[in-house]
Amino acid sequence: MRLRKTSLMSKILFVLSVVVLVVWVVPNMIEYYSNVKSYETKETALKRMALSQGIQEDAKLFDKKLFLEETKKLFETVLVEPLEDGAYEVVIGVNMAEMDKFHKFLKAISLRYKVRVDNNLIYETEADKMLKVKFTLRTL
Amino acid sequence: MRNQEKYVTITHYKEREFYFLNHAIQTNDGFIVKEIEQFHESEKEKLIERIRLLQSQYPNIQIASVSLAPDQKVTNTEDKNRATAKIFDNNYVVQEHIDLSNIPTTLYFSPFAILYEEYKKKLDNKLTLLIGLFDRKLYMMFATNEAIHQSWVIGTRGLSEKQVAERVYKSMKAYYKIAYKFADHIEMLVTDESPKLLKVLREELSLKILPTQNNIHNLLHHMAGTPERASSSYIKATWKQQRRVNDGDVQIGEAEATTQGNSLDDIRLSAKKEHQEASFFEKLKLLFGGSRKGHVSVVQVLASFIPILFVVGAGSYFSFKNDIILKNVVAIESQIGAQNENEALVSISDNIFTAMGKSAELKKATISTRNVDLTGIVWGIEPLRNSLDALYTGGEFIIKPLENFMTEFSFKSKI
Repeated sequence: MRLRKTSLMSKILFVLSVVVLVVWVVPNMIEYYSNVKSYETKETALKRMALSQGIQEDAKLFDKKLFLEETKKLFETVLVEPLEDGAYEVVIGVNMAEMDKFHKFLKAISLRYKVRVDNNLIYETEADKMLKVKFTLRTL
Repeated sequence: MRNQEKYVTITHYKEREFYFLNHAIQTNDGFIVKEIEQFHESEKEKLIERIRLLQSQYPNIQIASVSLAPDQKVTNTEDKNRATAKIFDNNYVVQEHIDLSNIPTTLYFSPFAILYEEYKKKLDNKLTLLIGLFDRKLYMMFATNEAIHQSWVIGTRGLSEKQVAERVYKSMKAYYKIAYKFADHIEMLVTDESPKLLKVLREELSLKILPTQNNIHNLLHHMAGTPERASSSYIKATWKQQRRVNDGDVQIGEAEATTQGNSLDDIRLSAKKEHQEASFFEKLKLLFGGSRKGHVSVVQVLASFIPILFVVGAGSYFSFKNDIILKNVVAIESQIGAQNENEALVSISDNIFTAMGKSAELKKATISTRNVDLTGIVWGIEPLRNSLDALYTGGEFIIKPLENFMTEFSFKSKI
């Protein structure tokens, strides 16, 4: 009875509300909760990866100065040159006997910093059993 | 005197199904009336055209009309919600609305104002009943020289003169109940000849009645004759449009105004501004009113918007949050992708160095997950070839003897 007494405009607005709810709001809501779940799963996977490398903290944004400071504690020579579009060319001097250390460093680099390594490593032998490793980092 | 300089008053009104039109040249000694023209209501456009023609002939004009609405009354307070005209120091004529039916009009009078103008000089401290007979309606008011005390409108259509006279008498008795006063005498202004009504009134009321007879056009020409006279008693002077709202039905009439000097400054159509301000919300309320004639409150109108506002709000919230979480998902996927690529790259690099072992020494290498390109010095050719072949089947392994009795190797994986 109350519905019958309601004005036409009120009914139109109500029907419009239901249509908007079904067509726009509910799909948005479902997508949101699906994305939240996906994010949580991926976050857990990433944390597991980090823990397997002995890293507790979250990855930080790349900072050239901080990167140099931390990397120089591991290797004798480290050079970082900025390129275009948030990319950096990194050159590291590695003792051939300490390749494992370099591999471990490379394996953990994207867990420590929000960066991606270009799929190309260049090794060149220098004197005294030293290897010069060149690669490109791109910030995420 | 040329047309440009003449002050002309045009008068019109509708009685039954006919419009009556007249114009007069105003002079210092009074006005010179032209012939009255009559139009059937189906010829309204013709009437308007005729008025426009007169307007073009005489730029200095006023177009006067009379409100013959029965819902008029005289009050001692101004009603801002209705059409109002001041006609006395403390009196106002109030009526619900003004409907000019799109006929140009600049001055709009009430019969009460015309009555007052006609008899104001005769009023004294004795109570006088002023009666105006306009279009078969009696406009009555009890007045003294201090104020108009009470007013009535009595329709006479379908009534005999005797019945009309009885009603006038009843009005007097009704007034007596309010004020304990009878009118000392009666003044009557008639716009149509009605000797029988006068006779019966005299008999019924036992009072001497001195009638004044004049037609509506002449009364209007007189009212509009000078700005001072007009300014003292008009329902309205300047308006562009007015609205009549009646059970949800909206009618809009339009009229032009050409006021002279400051004559009409004090005259207001009080309802006009309020209607304009309320127009948007009134329209909204009408939309929500549907077929019901009941009052639609602001709360009801706003309440109708609640569901859609709530839904749009919720949709916007989830849309906004979804955008944020989607960016986070993309960022974390990039990080995981980068980490997986790094691990693959490290794995390949480690395998190559393990494959070379003590059989070779690297000089230069380009390593990616897609292919490898190695150059170095080799001491154990077959072990190195076997190891690299195990990693990259079908790769190109080349050895090259050097002058210093050493052997250089190069290896390119098959792409």
